[in-house]
Amino acid sequence: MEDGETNVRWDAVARGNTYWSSRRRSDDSAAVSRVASTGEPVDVQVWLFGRMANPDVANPVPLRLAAGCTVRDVIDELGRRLGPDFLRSVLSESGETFNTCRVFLEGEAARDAAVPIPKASAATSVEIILFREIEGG
Amino acid sequence: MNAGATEYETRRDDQWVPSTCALCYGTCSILVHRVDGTAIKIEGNPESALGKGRLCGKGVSGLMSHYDPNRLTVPLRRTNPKKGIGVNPGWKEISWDEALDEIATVLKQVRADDPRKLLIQRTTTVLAARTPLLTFGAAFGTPNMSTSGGGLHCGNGAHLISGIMHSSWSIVPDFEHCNYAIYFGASKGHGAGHASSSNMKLAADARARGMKMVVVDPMCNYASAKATEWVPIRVGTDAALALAMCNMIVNELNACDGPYLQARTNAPYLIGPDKLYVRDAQSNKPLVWDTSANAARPFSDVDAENMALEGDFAVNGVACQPAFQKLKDHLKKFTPEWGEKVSTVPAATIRRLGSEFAREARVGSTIVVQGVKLPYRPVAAIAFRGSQGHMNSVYNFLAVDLLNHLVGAADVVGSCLGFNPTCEGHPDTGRPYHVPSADADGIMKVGMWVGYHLPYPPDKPRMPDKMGLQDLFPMGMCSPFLESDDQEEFWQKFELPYRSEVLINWGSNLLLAIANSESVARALSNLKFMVSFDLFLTETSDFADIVLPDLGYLQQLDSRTSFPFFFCSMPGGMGDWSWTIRQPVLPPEGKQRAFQEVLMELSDRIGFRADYNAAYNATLNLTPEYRLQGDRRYTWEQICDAELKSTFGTQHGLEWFKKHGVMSWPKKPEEIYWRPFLDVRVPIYWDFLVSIGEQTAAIAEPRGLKIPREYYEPLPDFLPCLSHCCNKNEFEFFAFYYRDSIHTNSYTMQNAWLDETAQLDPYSYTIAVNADVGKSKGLRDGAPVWVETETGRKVKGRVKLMQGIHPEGLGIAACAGHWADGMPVAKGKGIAYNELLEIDWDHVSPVNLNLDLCVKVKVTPAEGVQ
Repeated sequence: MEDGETNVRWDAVARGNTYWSSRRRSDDSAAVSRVASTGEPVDVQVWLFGRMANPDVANPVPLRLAAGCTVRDVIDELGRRLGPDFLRSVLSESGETFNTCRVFLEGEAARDAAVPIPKASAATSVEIILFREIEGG
Repeated sequence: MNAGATEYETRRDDQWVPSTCALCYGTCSILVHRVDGTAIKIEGNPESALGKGRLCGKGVSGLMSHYDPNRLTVPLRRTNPKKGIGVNPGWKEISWDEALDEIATVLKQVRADDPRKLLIQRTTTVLAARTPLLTFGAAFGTPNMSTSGGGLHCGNGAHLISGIMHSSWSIVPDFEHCNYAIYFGASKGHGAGHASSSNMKLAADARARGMKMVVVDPMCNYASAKATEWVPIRVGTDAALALAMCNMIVNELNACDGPYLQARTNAPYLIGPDKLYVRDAQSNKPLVWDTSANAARPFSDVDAENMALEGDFAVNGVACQPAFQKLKDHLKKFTPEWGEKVSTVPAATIRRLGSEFAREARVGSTIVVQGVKLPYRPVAAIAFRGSQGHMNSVYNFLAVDLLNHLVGAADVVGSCLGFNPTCEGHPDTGRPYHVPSADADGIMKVGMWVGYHLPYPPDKPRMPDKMGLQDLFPMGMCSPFLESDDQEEFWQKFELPYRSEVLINWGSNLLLAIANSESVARALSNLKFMVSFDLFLTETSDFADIVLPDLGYLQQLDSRTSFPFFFCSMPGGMGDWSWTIRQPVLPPEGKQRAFQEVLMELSDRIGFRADYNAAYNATLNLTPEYRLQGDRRYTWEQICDAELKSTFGTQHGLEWFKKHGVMSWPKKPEEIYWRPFLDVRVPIYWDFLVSIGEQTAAIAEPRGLKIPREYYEPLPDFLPCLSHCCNKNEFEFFAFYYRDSIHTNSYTMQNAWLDETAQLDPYSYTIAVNADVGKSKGLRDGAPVWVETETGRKVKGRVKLMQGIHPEGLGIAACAGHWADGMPVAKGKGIAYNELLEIDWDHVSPVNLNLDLCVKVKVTPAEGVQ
């Protein structure tokens, strides 16, 4: 630890520092690199677990979506099939994030709904599960 | 020594086994000395950042909890269908097969009918329960999980606001560099809980180095006793003192850190007449006033130094002001003289504290840590259970934290820190990784949270799906409606389409931990079926239909005892990251079984193992190669091994951790002092609270529930508790409870060593009253008294007079007063403070549902107190 300076703007010390912006998670770039190329439709198998599982709907749910589709497209299509309650339980108010559920693409966690669906050799596996936990302590 | 003796010596079992304590949720790392199958000593593990070799008296006493002859060793079934306090359950021993058959039959029916009818309740004292039970609940399909009094009493305000403002579960001074810490009803570094053993050393070193420590508290106990200064305060009025200090800093001393407010808060965001952000028509982004262009522009298009913090502006003909101007004007009414009237802290003291805090913040200064130049703000204002355990929970906590943000003392060197909210992961694997990020408004979202109810952005209020009604009150984490007197009224009012029928309880003692036992007992009696995993036959387990004998912490396996890092085990500040495990030092006794294995067997018997595996994949964040597959059966050991290898690589699985106990690597300045490096802002002005209030009211008020909007204003205020509104002369004391450093909640009362210590302590089992006030009323040390509330609830105990308590205060160490025969050491010791507490809508925060923990009481002589 060294002594510092005085009369320095709070935000001046880190201006231009890219420490965190240069440390994007490796799985983000991996997912992007495997996005389906233009023109090819994507076959997806959606596994719904816990409360998402619906005895009236086959599990997994097979979907065929347009090239370049994202997690949001998968969720929208499921919403058309399973109803608005499904959408409401999965998406946040902004429609961008999952506050109470986790989504996995080929076993890798998707950070938000904008994550593209990777192309798998057969159907791409998407898993969705709800968590409604509350905590304290 | 002959050859035979040597052979005997080498064959002896004589090992120090690395593991993790569970006598409180600090989860300090321990070494257990086992000789010939018997644990004979427990010490701290110097290889771990969690305690660094230190261990408190509770941790040392763990042997007594383990070897307690009252431990449960067989499954039990009640034969008496009647349930109630004092009712003999008529326990009979049954086999595990019988127990699991019956439980699985009930749960299978409930899951097919409506999985929401299952309520899962666990204690926060032992964190081992968190992941397996959270996972079980998600896989089963119930949204109803709760954490007993641990959440309802201490968490709704503290954790919510720490999450919004620091991306962390709680806040703590950067002890290594802090020069001035002011605590409001907090004991970080001086009691149990958050990073307890680590923080005790850090706090002691800081005081020895010269850190001034001011403790604002109705009682001069653990933190106050070691402080530079104790400031006695009227119970529940912390916001009044903090707001008066904020007013000093903003309006009298002009000592704010403007650049911090411009760059890392929403202080420059323009606020319109509707109390909401003024937004750009195209991008919908909040607008700021760009002083270089003399125009309103989206915040993301303007350099921080050009963002106006003060002034009156007009955007498209609409008058607006920066949020900071709103705050500045709002604070003017909180004069030190007003603060004195509310809090009883003299105005001169308030002025001095405000001046000291502002001066010691050294706004504008920098420091270099490990070669990295950083802002240096060596002050911290810290709040916790004492200040936030009230109806005014949100504002009490927010007002205190606002002190930090006004001077830029948030997550920089010397300041108020969150507990490790930013982690880059182990150098070899980059895991675990959690970093806060910004939403579209530029406001910070947590990088990781304990559950999946994020503090920000809050969910939009809606008709409830949860029994706790947190859907309608989204700022609430834990709810009183699981036990409240008016639960049925509220469930009907909000058309909850089901009722809880089955409770799985893991180690919580609801009858002591929530509120008055009459209300809690009624709620428990309404359940059709209850299972309790427990170590002893507690008061709450006596309401169960089946009791299952669990393993104690010296017998358990858990692969993540220090994780999540932002929670409460890992000390804040620089040093090491340490990932720790808990491993069995001793075998099960009798028919005890690990609850994790029991839950997995239940998932098989009920038929949802595939869901359980999928849920574990999610909660443990397993990488693809270690994910659990389909409905395949795994042991708990295999799951722990998968998590460790997934996080630290193939070479560092369970066997490696069993040998070493801990994986450590150094923290970096950019991780601990992260705020300058991340482009995220925190809200000093809570515009979203206004919207939530309106949205909640739109649902509640047509159904007859008035939502008091004064609790949903965007800037903190002082709002009185019910106790502050009691004007009956005979009710002259503000009763409160405090966390005894000798005990952990109700859990350790059965530990013989700790009980003996508590009996020697003058305060643990008595009622503390100010000596001068007590004498003036004819009270003397040891005098038996009744303590009675306005509603007629009362407890009795013996008086202990002391100078170190506010003249209006009456302090009781919680939570004692056990009555169960299954806990004979604890039975009859101390006072059950919670018996004084009502539990209904009138006694909770209408924002975050935190129970009001203070109550006005009268004291009258009693006879026959043992």
